[in-house]
Parts: sequence; structure tokens; C-alpha cells
Amino acid sequence: MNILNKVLESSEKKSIRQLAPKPSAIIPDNTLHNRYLFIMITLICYLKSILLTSYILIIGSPEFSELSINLLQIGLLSWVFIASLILLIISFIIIYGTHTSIIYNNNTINLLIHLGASNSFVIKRIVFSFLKIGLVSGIIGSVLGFITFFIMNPFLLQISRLMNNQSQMVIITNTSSSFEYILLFAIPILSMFACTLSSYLTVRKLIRKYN
Amino acid sequence: MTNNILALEKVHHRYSITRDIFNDISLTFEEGGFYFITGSSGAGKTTLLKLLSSTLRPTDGSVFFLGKNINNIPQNKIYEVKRQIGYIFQDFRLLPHLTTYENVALPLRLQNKREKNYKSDVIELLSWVNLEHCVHSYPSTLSGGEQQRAAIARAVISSPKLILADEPTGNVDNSNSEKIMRLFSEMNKMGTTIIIATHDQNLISKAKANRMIIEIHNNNIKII
Repeated sequence: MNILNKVLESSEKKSIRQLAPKPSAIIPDNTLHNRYLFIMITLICYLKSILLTSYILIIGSPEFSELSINLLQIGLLSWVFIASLILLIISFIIIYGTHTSIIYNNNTINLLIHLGASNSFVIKRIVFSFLKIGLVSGIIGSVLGFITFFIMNPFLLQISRLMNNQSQMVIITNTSSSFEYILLFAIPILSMFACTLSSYLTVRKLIRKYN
Repeated sequence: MTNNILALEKVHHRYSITRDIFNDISLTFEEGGFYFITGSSGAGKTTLLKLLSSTLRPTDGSVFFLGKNINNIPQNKIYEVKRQIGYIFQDFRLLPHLTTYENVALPLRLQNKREKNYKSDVIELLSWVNLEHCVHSYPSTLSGGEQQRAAIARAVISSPKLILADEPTGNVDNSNSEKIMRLFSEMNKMGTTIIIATHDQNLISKAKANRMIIEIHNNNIKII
């Protein structure tokens, strides 16, 4: 009987929960702009992780080995250059996307300030929603990128072996594996950081305008 | 100063070098009063309301709310003043993704109050403005009059001492504007100070008792 009562109680609780839905978010975070931003960051992080991990394989071309300069040194320098270039493009896209998305909620923010929302209330809600977008899309993008890279890896190696001698390739793939794990964590953290910073700066500017 | 809820002291406001809105105006609003601000379009009715609601800071002069100079309140603390003022917009400004209930409860949510503490108050207020049938409706499904009444309920929910209304009947028909004016009169009887900006003379004539009319003309004000 006790078990039956418990089951009935839990089903009652369940139905009450269904009748009283969770209150909607004051500032909507599933807008079209946010969805586009999410897809864009996921795609960028995906491409970035593929590019940066497979780049190590590309630098093992015969032209590099013929030069007297240390191969790994050149590899590292060019890797840093490409990485910063990609980072710059990503930062621009994230900042632009976040800015547009917040400006879309311009009227909501203005109203909330009119109704007596504190600055920290508005900042917390907006920054947290973009932090989530940056982190989740970064994780999805980089994980998908690594899966693609691992699927593509044997084919890439075969192509490289045709162009290069085998002993060099072993060294290069070993070097790349440590980068892979750093990138797996670095990409989501970077995209989260870019989203948080750009949303904070944009919302602070809007709050100053309306206060 | 003790009975004054709001006071303007030698307020001067300009939008640009060539456009002055007010020239050294001084004005007091008593607690429990019923005021109309009139004037032609572009005279500065909305600007005056913004100055009174602390949304806009004057170029020169002081605005006092309950004896406190708003100019001396830091920007990150101004919300404390805004919470004591109910603002009604001409275009309602209900959030489209929230239900009528959620829109009305919004000022309380912004104050981090728990729903169980205010739920019955919101329902009661919605029935006071005759919106008990639209508790779970979204603003897009409400008529103009219903939206304006929901906006009034939102302004009243946190029991403000002062209500500022910018053309509250600008977007509603005659019968709805009468209902809205009746609500304002009831609130005023309960002790709330009401300030309405309008250019509608019919609306002013509907509020008969103890009203004061402030007319804005050529950057100055005239009390009628």
C-alpha cells in the first residue's frame, strides 16, 4: 500500500509540475541570432581544430626537409602564425555575432532598466547566456573536429608518405598528438572567453546608454 | 519639501546646441496628486517624464525624488529610485516572449522576489484590471486595450509611490480610455501620485477631481 501511495504521490507531483511550467527567461536566449551564433562558433571551432591538428602533417613536405633550418622550429613558428590568424578571424566573428545578438535585445534591456533592474542583474543574465553558447559550441565544434581528424588521419598519412620519407613522418605525428590534447581544451575555453568578454563589453555600453 | 514627491529645481535640458527643451523650469509634485502634462507634439512631454523618472539626467539643475537629489545618486544605484516609480508607455512595451502573468510579475522578478510570495497578488491585480481570462495569453493575442491594462498592472504591481504615464490612451479606443482613466482614479484614491503626459483634452476632462494641468509651451511650463 505504501509503495502504491508513493507512486500516486510522485505522479501527482509530476502533473503539478506540468501544470505550473518553469517561468520563461526574462531575456530570451534561444533567439534566431543566438542560434546562428551557436552554429557559426561550432562550425568555426570545428574547422579550426581540423586545420590546426592537420597542419602539423602538412609541414612535413619535402621542401622543408631540403632546407638546412630546423624543421620543427619552422613548423612551430608557422603554426603560431596560422593559429593567431585564425584566432583573429574567430574573435572578429564572435565579437560581431555577440554584438548583433545583444543589440537585437536592445528594447528588452531598455525596458528592464526602466522597470528597475540593477546593472548586475542584466549583465549576469546576458553574459551567462553567451558564456554557455561559447563553451557548448566550442566543445561540440572541437570534439567533432577531432573525430573528423582521426577519421582522416590514415588517409592524410598515406598521402604524406607518398611525398615524404617515413622516418620524418613518425616524428611529426608524435609532435601533433600533444597539440591535439591542448587544442581539445583550448578551443572551447577560447571561444567561451571571447563570447563572455564581447557580451560583457556590449551590455555595459548599453546599460550606460540607458541609465 | 516634506509633502513633495518630486521637485524640479531650475532644470535646463538641451538635446543639442541648437535644441533647448527646457529653460530653468522649477516645479513641484505633491504626494497623492493627479497631474496632467500637456503640450503640442514635440513640446517635451516625454522628455519631462524621462527627467522625472530619472531615465534622463538634466543638462543643468536638480531633480529631487522624495527629497533626494537624483543627480547625486551613482549610476549603479539609480535602479533603487526606478523601483519606486511605475512607468506606463504609450506603446505598452510588453515582452512578447512572456505571458500576461509573467509580464505583470516582471518588476517583482527583477527584485529577485520568490514567485510563491507574489503569485496571488499578480492574479488579484489581473482581475482588478479585468484580465483574469488572459493570464496565460501572450501579448500578441491581446487587444490594444488589454495590452494597455496589462501594462498598467505591471506598473502597479510593486506598489510604487508614483505612476508616470506617457500617452496611456494614445493607442486605445474611447471605451478603453475611459476604463483606463477609471483605473488611474482608483489608484489615485489609494494615495498614488499620478502624472500623465497627454495632448488629448478629452482625457483631461474625464478626470474631474483634484487634477492639476501643466502645460509645456516654448521651453517653459505653465500651471493651469
